Amino acid sequence: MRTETPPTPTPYRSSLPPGRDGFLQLLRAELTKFRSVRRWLIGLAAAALVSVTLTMLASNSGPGNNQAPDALAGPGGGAVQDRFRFVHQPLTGDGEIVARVVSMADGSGGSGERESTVPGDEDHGIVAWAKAGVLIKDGTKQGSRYAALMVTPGHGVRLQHNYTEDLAGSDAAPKNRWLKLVRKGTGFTGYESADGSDWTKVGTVTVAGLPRTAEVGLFVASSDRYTVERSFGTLSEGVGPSKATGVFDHVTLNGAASDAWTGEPIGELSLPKVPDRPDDRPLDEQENREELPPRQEIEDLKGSDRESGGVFTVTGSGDIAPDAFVGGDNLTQGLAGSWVALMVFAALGTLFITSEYRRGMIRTTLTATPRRGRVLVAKALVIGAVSFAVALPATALGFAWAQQRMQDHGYVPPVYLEYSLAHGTGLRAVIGTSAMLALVAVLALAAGAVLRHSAGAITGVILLMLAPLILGGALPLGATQWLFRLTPVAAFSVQRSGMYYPQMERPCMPENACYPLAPAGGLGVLLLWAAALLALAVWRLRKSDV
Amino acid sequence: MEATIEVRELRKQFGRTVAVDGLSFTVEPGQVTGFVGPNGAGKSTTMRSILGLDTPDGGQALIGGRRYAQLRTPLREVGALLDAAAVHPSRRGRDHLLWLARSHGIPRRRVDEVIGQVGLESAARRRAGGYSLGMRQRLGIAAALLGDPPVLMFDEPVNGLDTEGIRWIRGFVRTLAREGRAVLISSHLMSELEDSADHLVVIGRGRLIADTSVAELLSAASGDRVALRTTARTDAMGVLAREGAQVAADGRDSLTVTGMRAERITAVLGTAGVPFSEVREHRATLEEAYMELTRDSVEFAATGPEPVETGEL
Repeated sequence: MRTETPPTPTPYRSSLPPGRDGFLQLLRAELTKFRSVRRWLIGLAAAALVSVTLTMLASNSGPGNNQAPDALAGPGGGAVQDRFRFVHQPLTGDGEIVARVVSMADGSGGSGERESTVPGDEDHGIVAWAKAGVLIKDGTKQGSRYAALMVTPGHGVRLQHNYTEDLAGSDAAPKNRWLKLVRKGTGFTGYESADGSDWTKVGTVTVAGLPRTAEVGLFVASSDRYTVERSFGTLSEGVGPSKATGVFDHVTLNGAASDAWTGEPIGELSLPKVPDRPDDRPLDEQENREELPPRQEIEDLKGSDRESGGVFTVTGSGDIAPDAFVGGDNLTQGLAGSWVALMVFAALGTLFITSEYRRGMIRTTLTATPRRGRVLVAKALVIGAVSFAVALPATALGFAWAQQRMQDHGYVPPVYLEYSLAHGTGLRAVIGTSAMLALVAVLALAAGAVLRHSAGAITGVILLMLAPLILGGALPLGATQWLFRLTPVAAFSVQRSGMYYPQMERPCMPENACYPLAPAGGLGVLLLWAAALLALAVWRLRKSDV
Repeated sequence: MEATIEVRELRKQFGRTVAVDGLSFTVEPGQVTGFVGPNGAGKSTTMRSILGLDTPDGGQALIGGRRYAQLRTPLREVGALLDAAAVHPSRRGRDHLLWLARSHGIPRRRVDEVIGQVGLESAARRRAGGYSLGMRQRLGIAAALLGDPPVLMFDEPVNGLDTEGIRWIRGFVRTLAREGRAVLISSHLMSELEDSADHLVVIGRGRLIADTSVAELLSAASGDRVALRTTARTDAMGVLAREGAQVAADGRDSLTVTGMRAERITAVLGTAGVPFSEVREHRATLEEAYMELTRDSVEFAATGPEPVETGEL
């Protein structure tokens, strides 16, 4: 029966408890959405499984080279180079050495047949990381502990110890630079000065385990010249020896020393395995000419030293530094499966939003939560957290397993670093890679929200992560480094090998697991991309009708 | 909060097409308001504007005096079914309701409560992709009821339902209105609202055509016509015309009388001794009333009842 006038409205009163609209409720709603689509959960499980399996496959073979016996181990266990000219005498107990580096020059007479990759190096023909300075070392055997204060043509004054550690002083050039290294127990303090009276502290380092009596003196080293050629996936690196000559004066040694100097080369290049044949063939047809310098050159590389009226002229070759050439990168091999996870997460991140557009469910979502920005932020947090929660155990398991197998297959120190979850680099790489995968999922979600099209967004994100890697192999080194600073692949810096040392001649490139940004910085770049794209998505969602 | 929907001078344009053009109406609590107009008349746009999904170009749509975007727990204040197909096919019906409940901190037992209310118990744990249209409509209605809101909006809820489903929805919305809620139901067919709506808002081409109670509309459309069945057609016409009524013959033995009530017709014919077999006050159907209303609306010219002029062809 219809009535002429509507019934007097008795306002409807609900018996439900009042609703809550907190962000936590929104997060729970989005999490419920994610876990209630079974094929997404299957996708996650498959990503984890395939990721671990692929990592296992990548770790299946041995290192396949026989450099291991030649490698020299430093006090830290890693491979090191320790070859230089040393003018030294024993010093017992505390003391100090002072010297002025008058000048430094290329010691090979300027035969720059190979171009160094270090900028500015071409001018004076001396490698940027050539070193002249004062050194306190545990004896004269290679690979022993030391502390050294030096000046370099390209990188100013440095206080280094035990091969891997490096502390920068001023940018001063090796011209009339005063250096002072003071020993107090196991503590070593470096000072530098322009005039020998006004000293600036470079820093203090501790060299544990250095005996009371150590060799102290002047040293000169000149690291190998480095060449690199890169084109679409192939990489040829070349190294050739170099020499440098340093001139010292005002050399003072305070402490229990003898005042009698001995000059000698520390370490030497191994002789060519095939003897230099006195044959009549033209020089350029002789074998091994490219690989190893001929016998005479090796003799020359031992350098020389002389003293006249308190002026020491020291010529040396080689380097006191980590040896990053000897082994390969065995860190990323333990993370090989992360590529599969990356693609699955990119797909899931996109589908988490595009499926809502496809079915018109976005209207239900925005009806339940009219504050649209919060919806996207909640979605981003949920997909990021879910991805991280799956990526972390999968990456950790694959990594730990693969590293163990690789060690069993001969990836052992000093040529290869020993990585595990218990150590900084391995742990950083695993957590960092998982964080990278989670951020890729967020990036994909944002791309999906902007494009509102699954295939386009998934392809776009995967291309964004792949294209710089492919392009990077073809572009000049400088351009590649910028790609790895500016694009989302910067995040691969979390997989930076433990063999990366800034104080090395070798240029930083993805091929040797080196990235121009620090791990946190690289991850930050990806985070900025994800945040920027998410902001764009929020802006678009807010301004448009759905 | 007063349980009403107020639409004030609402205007919405898509490109050059004006979808809603200065539309104003109010949906009162305690009754079912039918929202009628042909496809493309602007019903869905109006409903999306009320829900804050579309931003109006002018005017406003308020729920209990506030814009939708200002509602903090909207599901507690208005429940809406816009598109029953808007469910992820891999998600189970119950999970669809569960995430909605989670977003408002609505307890889990309420989910089972509304599932029972719409009679979806047997299907709630199945994936929504396998639902029939009727089950999806029920799921959508359950979602609208989840927050137990005083205002409800259903867009074409009977679309594609079988007779039993239609009957169920009619009864259901009447129950909801009796509880004191404001209920708005849209349809492009007036006949669908015949037994459920108390009030009607009729629109065409985005403009308001009528905002009236169903009773008023019907009485206006019915006029005071009486249908008379008699074998003595000529006699009856003469007698009634003499007494001041207008009489028109519409069949061999049937007449339509205007300007005279049925009791008087009986008396006049009885006095004059004219035989008749039936005197019936004409009662317009809602569909007829709707046709009458929209006859002038250009939108309907092509499908309207007016004959097409063919003389010049």
